[in-house]
Parts: sequence; C-alpha cells; structure tokens
Amino acid sequence: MAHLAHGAQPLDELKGPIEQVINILRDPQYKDASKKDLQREKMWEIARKVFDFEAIARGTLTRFRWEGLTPGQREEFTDVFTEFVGNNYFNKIQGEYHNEEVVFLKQEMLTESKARVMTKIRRESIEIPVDYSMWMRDGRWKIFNVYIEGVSLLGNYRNEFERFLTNSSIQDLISELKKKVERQKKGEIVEK
Amino acid sequence: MRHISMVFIVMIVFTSGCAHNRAMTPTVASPPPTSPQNSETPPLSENQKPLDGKNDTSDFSDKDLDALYAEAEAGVVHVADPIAPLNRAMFYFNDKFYFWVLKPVARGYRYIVPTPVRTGAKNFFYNLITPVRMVNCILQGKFYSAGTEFTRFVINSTVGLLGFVDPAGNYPMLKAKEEDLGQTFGNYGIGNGFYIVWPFLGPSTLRDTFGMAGDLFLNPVNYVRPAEAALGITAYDKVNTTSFYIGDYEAIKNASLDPYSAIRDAYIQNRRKKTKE
Repeated sequence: MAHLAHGAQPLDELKGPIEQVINILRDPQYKDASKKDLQREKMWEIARKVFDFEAIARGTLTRFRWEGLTPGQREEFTDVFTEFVGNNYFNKIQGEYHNEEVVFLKQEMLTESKARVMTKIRRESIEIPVDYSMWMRDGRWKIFNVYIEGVSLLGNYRNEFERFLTNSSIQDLISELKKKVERQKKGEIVEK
Repeated sequence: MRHISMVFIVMIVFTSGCAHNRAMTPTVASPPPTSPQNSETPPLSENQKPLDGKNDTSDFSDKDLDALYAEAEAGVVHVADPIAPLNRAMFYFNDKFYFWVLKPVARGYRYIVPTPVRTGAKNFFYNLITPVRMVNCILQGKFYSAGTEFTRFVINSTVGLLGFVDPAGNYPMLKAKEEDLGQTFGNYGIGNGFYIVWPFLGPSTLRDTFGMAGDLFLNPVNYVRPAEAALGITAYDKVNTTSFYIGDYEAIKNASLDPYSAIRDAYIQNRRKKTKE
C-alpha cells in the first residue's frame, strides 16, 4: 500500500478508500447488529488514512486560538473533534444506507500539492455534490476539507467554535464535544 | 376562514421547489457589517496575529498552515440576525413540524410508494417550474442556459410524458440551471439584508424572501383553482421531496453544537455558492 508521491493522483487516492468504505457497508458479514462495532472499526481504519484529522481539527480554530492552547489541550481537542466528526458521519451512513453511490467527477490541481476533487452522492434519483480539498502530506493525498452542497465543513465549524468560544473556554468546548460523543455512542439521536 | 387558508397556501407554496434544499443549506455577498448586538455572528479574531509559532509541535509547514487557514476563513460567514429570538422560535416550530408531521408522513409515503413513482413526481414538479429557472437565467443574462432550460422543457414535456420522465437528463449539455430570483438579486449586487426563518419554509433572508415572492408568479401550481387544490398539490410536492432526504436534517442537527446557527451559516454559504454559479 505504499504510495509514492510521483504519479499518485488525488482523485484516485480518494476513490480507493471511498470504495472500500462502500464495500464494507455492503458486505453481508456485517449485517448482524453485533458486527456493527467491527464494521465501524474497519471504516475508521480507512478514514484515518485518507482524512487529515489533525489538520481539520486545527483549522476549525483560528490561528490565534490555537497558539493559546497548551500541547495537552491541542491533543485533547484534536482527538475529541476527530471522534465527533467521524462518528457523526459513520452514524449517518451505517444507520441508513440506501445504496448510495459515489460518482467521481473530476480533479482540479490548485498547486502541485493541493487539489480539489469533485464528486456527487447519488441516492435514488437525487444527487448531492460533495467536493474534497486535498493536499499532499506524509507522502499521500489527504483530505483537509469537505464541501457538501457548497457548505464548507471547516468554515462551518470555525463559525460554530468561534461563537462558542466568545463566551466559554476551550475546556468548555472540549467537554461539550465529549458530551456529544457520549450521546453518539449511546445511539441517542438529537431530536430537539 | 378563506383568508386563513390563503395565508397557509402562500406559505406552503413558498416551500415548494427550493424549500428542501434551503432547509439544509443556502446566499451571498456579505451584508454590511453589523454591530455585535444585532448579529448573532460574533466578530472573529482573524487579524489577531499569533504571538509566536515556536511552541508548535506538529509538522505543518508554514505553507500548509496558510492554506489551511485560508480554506477555513473562506467558509466564514457573517449575516445580520436582528430578529434572532423570533427566528429561533420559528426554527423550533419548523423542527417540531418536521419531526411530528412531515417526517412520519414522508416516511410512510416512502414505504408505500416505489422509487420510480416518487422520482416521476419529483421530475414532474421540477419540469413544471422551468419558467422560474428560465426567466431568472434571462434576467441574469445567461441566455445560453435559458435556451437549455427551454430545450429541456420541450423534451421532457413531450418525450418525457409531461415531465414525469427526464430524458433530457441523459445529456450533460442539457443540465438544468438552478436559478431563482433571490440569486438574480444577488447577481445584481443586492446583499442578504438579514436572516429570516419562515414557518414551514425554513431559512431565508430579506432578499431571498422577495425573491421567493416574485418566483411565485412563475410557478404554475400557484394558478390552480380552487386554492385548496393548489395547497394540496404543494403539500404533496413537499412530502415527495422530503421522502428523498429523510435523515439529512437529523444528521446536520447531530453534527452541530447549536443547530439554529449552524443551519443559518450553512444556508448563507449554500446560497453564496449558488449565486456565484
């Protein structure tokens, strides 16, 4: 699985993992409820390779905020944010997978180590545009932002967290996210 | 009584077409800066310079960090929200309406009605509001796209059996152009004004509200009489559309600390993207 920087195209490096995740979702061996955790673990393994969670977590805070965090807080925030975002995503696709397909449309190279890959999710007869910002880090193409229907994941969390941090501390934010993750694990769905 | 039903119809009719997408997402040029008291979006400390980057332990290059922060800042939105308390009340109402009425109905409908039928209905309504898209293409000087809309309409209304089938969809050059009057206003340089949440209709802005009202005149359903029939048709369209998106709203809610603000920001971002296209 060693990827060489040369020749590896961002679209291909995205397509491989996404198709692996879809295969895991479709795999009948995980159909049983008791296998869901194992299935989730497999998907996490793939996600960690292709998503640059370290970068995504960092980008949700302003440069200034990040500089103000202790190394411990940085690590704690990165971990809990990664779990929060990942679980939201996996809850969604594991909870109701309606044979969605991902269509890979094209890649745009912005610089030689930065690119945008356009895809769309096809569900029944609707299409949802999903674009990925990718960069080359640690020798492979990794995702550092996602746009769903033009809405930037980084931008939206930046807005949310800055708003939260206006009146609260980073410790409050971390514990709020931890609370959310706990609820996710219990399978509670927020309905209010 | 009649008056009340008309008001209801106007609300419901607004919902058709764009409402669902709007619920998840959608606008444009940043409005004039507002005082923090008027806006729920606090001023961000973007221009505060880092004091030093030395205690950085990770291996991001300066170039990477610049790219990362530029990417995040591009998604930062500011929109005035002077009527936030009222908007939050409407958000709460729409939320309950979704979970108590719309979702159960759409879910039952989805269970009973096979996908091809629901898709046909979706195509039919989409074809029906071609005038909205075509006129707004023209208003924005996008004549080629207006022609595409016209061609789509002719093909889908004839070969496509009154629009239930979408044969034009097989041709990439006949891709529909999602335009509406709110985007046209944005294209003319008119800002959002401020954020508004309408009952049943969901997120909007002052500008997009005028846009929706204008687009009503081009929506044939609005001319169906008696008015109760138009209401029924529009409600059906809403349920049919929702049947394709069950679970998406819930996912957005789960992914945010304050769903009201998150959906507001997402709406503004989505509309900004659409206006640019």
